[in-house]
Amino acid sequence: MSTMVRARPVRAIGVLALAIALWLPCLRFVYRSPPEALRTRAGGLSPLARSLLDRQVALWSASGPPQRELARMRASNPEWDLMSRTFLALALANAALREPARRDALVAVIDRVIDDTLARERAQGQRHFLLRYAGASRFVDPSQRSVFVDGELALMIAARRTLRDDSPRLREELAARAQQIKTQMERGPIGSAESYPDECWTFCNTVALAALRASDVLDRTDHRPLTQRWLSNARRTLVDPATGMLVSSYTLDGRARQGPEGSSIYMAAHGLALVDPAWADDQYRRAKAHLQREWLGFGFAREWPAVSDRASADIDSGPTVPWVGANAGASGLALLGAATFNDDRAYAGLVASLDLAAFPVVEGGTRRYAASNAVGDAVLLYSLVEGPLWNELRARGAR
Amino acid sequence: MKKLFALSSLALTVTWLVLRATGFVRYASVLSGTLPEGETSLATGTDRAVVLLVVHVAFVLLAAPLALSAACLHALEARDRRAAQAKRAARDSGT
Repeated sequence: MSTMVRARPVRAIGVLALAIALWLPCLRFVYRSPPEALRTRAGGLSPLARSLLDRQVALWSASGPPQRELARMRASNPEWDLMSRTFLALALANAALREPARRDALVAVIDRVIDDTLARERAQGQRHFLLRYAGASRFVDPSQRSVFVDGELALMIAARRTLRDDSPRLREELAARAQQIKTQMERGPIGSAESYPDECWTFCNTVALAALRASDVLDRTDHRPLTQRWLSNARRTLVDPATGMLVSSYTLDGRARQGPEGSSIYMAAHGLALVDPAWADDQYRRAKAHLQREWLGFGFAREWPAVSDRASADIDSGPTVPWVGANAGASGLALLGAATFNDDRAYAGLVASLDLAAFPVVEGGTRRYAASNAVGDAVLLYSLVEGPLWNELRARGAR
Repeated sequence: MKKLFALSSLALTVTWLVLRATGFVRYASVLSGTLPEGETSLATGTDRAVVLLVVHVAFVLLAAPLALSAACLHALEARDRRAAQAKRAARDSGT
């Protein structure tokens, strides 16, 4: 009897270990959705996209922008304020192309986003959307402007105009931003423009290239020579030798400041998809190989490749989970990469991780993630509906 | 152990439900480096975010296996009891 009593805790622990071993592979059946339930290929919106879209539309209702949401983010990083607006405008444009019946209503929301962003830039300058150190020194370029702000605003306006080109004011605004970006890139020694004083980001420059491409399609301009110059310089000076990925930031004359980062490379690949699809695809494949991981059906992305010696997070990256290296910013933007390059399996794994660890909150038929913020929700929404806008610009550009 | 497992599973589930129902989940925004609603600094919400995360991870990873283990142990003990009874009955009939 005493042997039996002693054996019982051992047996209990063994049963628990076995139950855990059986349960962990089953978690994917609880949290992982089939790819076709997430992103629809042939127009329309998935239920997840619709529930996120409805919340964003409600937030940007006629009463104005969601001040509290944006203020909570701005306390950490004012860049996220502008990025959330850009991703939202792009998401709304794609949703409008997917659901033409909602086009007018969604264009009205995009207009509110653009008007409010322009008003804030006019009132408080571009530094309203930049981290404080933007004011610590002067930009090298005499314009003293940030391509982060000009590029994202240009892309937002181009997306709006792709849906309905009925505003002379927006036509002028896009032409002026495109000219500004062109002038700065032409003056740059390697064809890049600064986001911060003597600090260029591949994220911002590729967004600007996408905006210039959209401007070419909409306004019959031709920025292809400028784009080719950027691409050939980037291939020569901005590629990390260890991974073959684009570095994330560099000086105006092309010296790398920070190597490849998950929070930059996926957006860079997304922007490049409009101007150099083959290289964009190559960059995504490399980013996937060096940064993305999947375990038991749950995907995540690291901020830095394993070969990198970076160990500390910066403000752009957001928090990183210790040991595994899963990073919030990198994983969020990996969704956009996976969506852009039709990597359905990786996409489903990343969304499964969101549902597992980002605390989904469903209220009144709309959805958000408590662990996320306005920019995170906008990136997720954009990744769910992405595709039609780039396709539309490609098709019009080919005519 | 069976009772311990069952009660632990129940406690984790109840704690998780209470945290969700009381709006504690707003502290999860710390995970994206964003101020929780109603807070003025990230630091004040961090402790609560850690509590939320620990309870959530424990609930997701352990609540179901603990309940399953309790059920398995219950079944094993019942089988042991039946075997012991059968053994006793065989011994009694033999004498």
